Amino acid sequence: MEKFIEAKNITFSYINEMEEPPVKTTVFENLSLDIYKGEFVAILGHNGSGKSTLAKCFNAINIPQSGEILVNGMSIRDQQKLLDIRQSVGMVFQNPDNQIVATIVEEDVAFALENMGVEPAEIRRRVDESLKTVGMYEYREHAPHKLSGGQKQRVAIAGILAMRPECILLDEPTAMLDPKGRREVLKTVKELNKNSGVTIVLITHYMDEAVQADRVVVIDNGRIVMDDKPKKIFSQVNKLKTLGLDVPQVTELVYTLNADGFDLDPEIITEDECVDALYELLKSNA
Amino acid sequence: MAVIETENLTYVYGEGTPFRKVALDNVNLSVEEGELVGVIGHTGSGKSTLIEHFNALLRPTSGNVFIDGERINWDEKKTLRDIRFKVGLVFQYPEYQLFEDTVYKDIAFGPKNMELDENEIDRRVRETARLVGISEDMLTKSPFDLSGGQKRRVAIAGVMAMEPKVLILDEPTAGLDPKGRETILEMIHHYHREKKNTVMLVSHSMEDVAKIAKKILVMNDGRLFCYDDTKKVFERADELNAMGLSVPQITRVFNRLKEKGINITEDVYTVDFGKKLVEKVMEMKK
Repeated sequence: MEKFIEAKNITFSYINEMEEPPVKTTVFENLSLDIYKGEFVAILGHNGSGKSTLAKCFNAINIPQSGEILVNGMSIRDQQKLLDIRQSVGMVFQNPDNQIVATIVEEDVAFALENMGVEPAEIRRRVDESLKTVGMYEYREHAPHKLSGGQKQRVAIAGILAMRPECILLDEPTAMLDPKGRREVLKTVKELNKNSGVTIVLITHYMDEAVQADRVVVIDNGRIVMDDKPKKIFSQVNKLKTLGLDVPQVTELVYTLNADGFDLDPEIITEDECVDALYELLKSNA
Repeated sequence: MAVIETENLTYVYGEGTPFRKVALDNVNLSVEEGELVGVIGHTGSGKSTLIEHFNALLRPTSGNVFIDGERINWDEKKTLRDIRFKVGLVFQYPEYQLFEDTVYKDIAFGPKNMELDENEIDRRVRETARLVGISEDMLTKSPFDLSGGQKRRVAIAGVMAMEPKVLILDEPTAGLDPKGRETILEMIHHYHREKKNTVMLVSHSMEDVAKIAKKILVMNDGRLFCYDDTKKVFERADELNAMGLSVPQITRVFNRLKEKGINITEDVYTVDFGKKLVEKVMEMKK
């Protein structure tokens, strides 16, 4: 597979100039991570582990003090490439209300395109297409503040999509949403990845979302401590708990049953797998 | 005895404008003293509007609210003050409301406003700090030097220190990592056990609600859908799904096993209980 984002030995610190002498907080040191084209990667880690800081390095909002990051071969230090990088790596944040700028849905989606100087006819085409992709086309003339949280996040995603990015970084996009909103956003993200080949980097605290990714990266105190397929990650229940993380309820159930002497597949991470395994175990009682 | 009661409570936003919206529609509710209640509902279902009536932040368009047997009289400023001491409300992301220069002063702010004497204030600050896991040496620190999770616990302690008869928390775990979420939930549970006061927990996480709430209040489109035992509420999985909510993953697994003909008579909404049930069924099989 082709590398899309290449982070090589990056070190990043926040420097608080308000203090005398200035206080330096190092978030990560010598961190390397590759994201491949077309992947759906989930990044997990406790609050303050450095997940968001890292994601902001991927589209040149944060510039590491040392090391190199290449996005599709372009260095994030190259000022000339800044717009190209931001256009190919779009970002969606936690609070939908902080990302919406216009008073009509379709104008909001067109905002970036207008800034990029795209032709009006092309803007029209791309706005309609993006709104259809996220399932918000019927709401194109609505006021964003009247939408639900999940709908607002989908409008925010459409705004990014209209720029035709190759990769979308989502930083806890579902933290403020109700269960339906969470389902809608996750479905949209997965469809973009599977149907349009958009590379997805999803930062989340919800394990049931991370389970749906192709690959899970766990960050702890600025270091990558785990990087594998979801099944391999979530079957390590104890390790995840020590890292302040969790596992899906179904994995936890299997884990506690196995601790009591049952012999169930420890790599069960989805509802379907759990139902099948328990059915096999309990069926003769039916 | 009922500590909160509403009688035909109706609230309309933007009356007389084209944006008129009925946020609460004839809500009749009675919450017994000492309950631990989970409040769920989709975005815009009226949850926040409802709880803002309980400490007299909103005045009903029609209907009545009774706190501790007394009708809230919105024309009497003096009684409103008492209501706000009786019903403590912790908003979403309460750490943004910290403002004092030490943790101690921040927690003491509420009790001070209640005009308690110094000794009583001191007792309450230390006791609540202990309850939320804030150590003595942290009391002299600036709240802004704490981690995100600690800040949130200090902010919640500030309301707990007022020892309200009813403590209402609006999404106290939003944006926290699994361990942070667990800590806050345990802290609320602990407070409830020790103080025996009424606690209401608004949340979008069905798993969180299932873990600690004895009763659940479900709002849907401005109406009270139901107020019942946690078990009874999660039995209505299909109805909850249709209104944009869900049931815990573990509940879905056991519901599906039941549909497949496994002989399970009880409802499952926590991993612990699920484990016990599987073991019980296996025992019967022998």
